[in-house]
Amino acid sequence: MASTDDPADRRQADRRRGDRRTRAAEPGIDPDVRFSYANERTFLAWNRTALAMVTAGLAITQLLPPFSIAGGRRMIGLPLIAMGVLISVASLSQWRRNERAMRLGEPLPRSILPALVAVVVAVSAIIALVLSIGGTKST
Amino acid sequence: MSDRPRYLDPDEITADDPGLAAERTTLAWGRSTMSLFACGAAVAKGVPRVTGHGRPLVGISMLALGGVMWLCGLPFAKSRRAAPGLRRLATHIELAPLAYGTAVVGAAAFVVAALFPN
Repeated sequence: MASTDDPADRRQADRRRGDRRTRAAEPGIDPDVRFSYANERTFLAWNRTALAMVTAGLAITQLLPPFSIAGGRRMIGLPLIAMGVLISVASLSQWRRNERAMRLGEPLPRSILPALVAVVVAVSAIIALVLSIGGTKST
Repeated sequence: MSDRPRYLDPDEITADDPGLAAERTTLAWGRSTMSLFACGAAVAKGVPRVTGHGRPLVGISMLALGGVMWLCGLPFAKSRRAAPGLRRLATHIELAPLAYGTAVVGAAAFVVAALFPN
């Protein structure tokens, strides 16, 4: 069985056959596929986070009753939607940087996305709190 | 070599059997597609309140976009179960449609939300 071979031989074989990619000219060696899959899942999870923020922002503007301050719903919803758009694009370059670092054996790059999401959600929550204290238009 | 990260240590790991990682990744693709459908439905719901019409067109576009995303993930789902040398790993070009498709849906959502009657 090939799986009981010497690890060095196996690594040579891994490197020789590679895993098929549509773009061959990538630096470094193919990492363990499990790490590539994990990186792909992380990208997909960020993508869902982006979609969730967009959906939440839409729900806030469309489903909530109007606040007593004009444009109040938009003050909460629009930052969330804008953040969702930003995340959806940024997560792709994040995936690419992680993949490159793994291929070259470098430490994974740091990301400002988690901090950015935390700040935007916190600010939206504070705005929502202030608007909620102000009450809705009908009351 | 000892200062290198563990994920390239050939004695510790083997790529021959990805185990349940392949299945988790396929499930993640499914969740992402469903999220896109849900978000598209929310956009399609808001469009008539803003423009007065256009829900069928937007709704069909969003459904089609979700379908494209599902199709993007499908070849990976099959190849992850293949033998080690035949697996296809996602490339930048293959993940770009999902990222930019989400950005387009988000931009449409921003316009709908910004113009929504107060």
